[in-house]
Amino acid sequence: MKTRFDSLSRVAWLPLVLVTILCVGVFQVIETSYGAEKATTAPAGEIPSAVQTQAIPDVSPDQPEVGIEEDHYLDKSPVRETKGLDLVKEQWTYDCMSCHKLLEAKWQYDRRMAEHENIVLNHGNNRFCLNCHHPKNRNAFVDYDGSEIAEEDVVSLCAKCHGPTYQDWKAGAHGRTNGYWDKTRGAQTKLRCIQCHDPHSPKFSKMDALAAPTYPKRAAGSHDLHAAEKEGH
Amino acid sequence: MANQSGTKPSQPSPGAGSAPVQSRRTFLKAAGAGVAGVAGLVAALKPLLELESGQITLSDLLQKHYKELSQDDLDRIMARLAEKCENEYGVKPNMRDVSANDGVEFGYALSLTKCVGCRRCAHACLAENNQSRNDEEDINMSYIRVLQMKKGAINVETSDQYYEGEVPTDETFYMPVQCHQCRESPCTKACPVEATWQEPDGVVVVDYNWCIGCRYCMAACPYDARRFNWGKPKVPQDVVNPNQNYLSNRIRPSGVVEKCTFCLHRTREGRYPACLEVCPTGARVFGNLLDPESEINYILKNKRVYILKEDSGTLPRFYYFFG
Repeated sequence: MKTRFDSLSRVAWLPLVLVTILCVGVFQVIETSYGAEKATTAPAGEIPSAVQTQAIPDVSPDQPEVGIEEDHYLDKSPVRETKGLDLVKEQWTYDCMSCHKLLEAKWQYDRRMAEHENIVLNHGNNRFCLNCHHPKNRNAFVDYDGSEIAEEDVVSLCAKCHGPTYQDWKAGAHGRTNGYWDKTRGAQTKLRCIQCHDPHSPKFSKMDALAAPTYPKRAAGSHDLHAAEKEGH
Repeated sequence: MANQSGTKPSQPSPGAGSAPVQSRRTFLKAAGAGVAGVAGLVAALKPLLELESGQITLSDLLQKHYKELSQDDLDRIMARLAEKCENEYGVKPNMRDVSANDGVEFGYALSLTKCVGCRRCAHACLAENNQSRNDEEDINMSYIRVLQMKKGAINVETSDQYYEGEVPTDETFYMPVQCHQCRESPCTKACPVEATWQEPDGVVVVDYNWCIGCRYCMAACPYDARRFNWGKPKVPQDVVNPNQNYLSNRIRPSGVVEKCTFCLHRTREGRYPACLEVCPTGARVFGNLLDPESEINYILKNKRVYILKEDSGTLPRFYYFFG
């Protein structure tokens, strides 16, 4: 049966194909730009761009050196990579007061944090932000009597409540020391509390165990005994 | 036989002319035995045929015990070992012999509260000590075994060292075991040739060139701390640790026993052992027992410390504690 499409010449298909390709291309461009926009909203731990005055690299080279460099085949990286305090030491301007001098300290406790949404406070009984953060100077922490604890001395902040652990840490019994056990022959590097414990959620999360030893095969060459036990034979 | 009558030839009397049937049988028996004997000899000597030239020299065979070696002898032996390592594994090592320091006795403690069973210590041991491995995940020769134990008791019988997955799991705690460098070590008593002995700083060492591979020490050890090289060690070139030491982490020959030496090539220079440097929870504590201010003495003074298999009387230098 003759349809209206039969009258379309071969040449007429070409503009139709080109228009289709054009539409597909425009759609892709829209999709990628939309996707990139979504990615720029701050993930957990990122500093919002309003406060940032200089770009902070992804893998910070400013993390303090752990142990001796020639042990490069041993993975001595601490559990956490700290961002803020090491940067402050290196003279980056990570200045919380640039926002907080404009905003009053909110003294209502147990309210949902509308700001800093990426921080979930899960520190046991310590439910109040201002237990650790100084209400007037947000670049410092607060001591029992209301005085400031500087950001570099964050270990004294943890020691406020965790006294015995702090004593152990000073003696080298809590946390890992790297380098030289014999201080007369070389330097010892100790990790700070926050290099292992996230201050807002200090409990260690589970990690994947590295590869196990292989269960020895039976001498007779029969199937793997351990697998058999698991299957309940 | 010139018997023309056609009757059966009579049995030849002893002393009569030659008995061809008997002698042929004897000849065949003798020849058969001879062939079997030669075949057995060749089979027994086959390893010699496979020996590459230069693999064993006369000086190797006549080498003295480590304790009797002069410094020159030791230097020469270490140079030869370094050359061998370069030929066989492709890496020229820096071979040393670090001796014990005065006034130092090593002690090691491990916190069972903090150990999460991640096995980074076991893997770091392989990275440091050049043990044989089939692939990069093979830790069968690692000196450290991490045991997953059920909470509530120290019961090694119900422990599992082959656990996998996320750690730590509830209802379990983790106890890594390695050589405890016992003060009253059963292994040094069992060795028939004194290839293993206790050094002045407490580390029990093995002279790999003296060990005969009888494995009596492995039977004697209550902690399963020793490993045996059933074949020539397989160490890929890219993971060979070139900082090698005669008594600790050099690449061993086939047929000798090896064990944890508290990384004496590091610790005798004042550094921490490799297992401690990688522990993510800081569960391990190491130091000099003779120094009252050391970390290990802080643990022994202030924590609830215990040792494994106390009833065996080994008096180990490796302590476990809670806290």
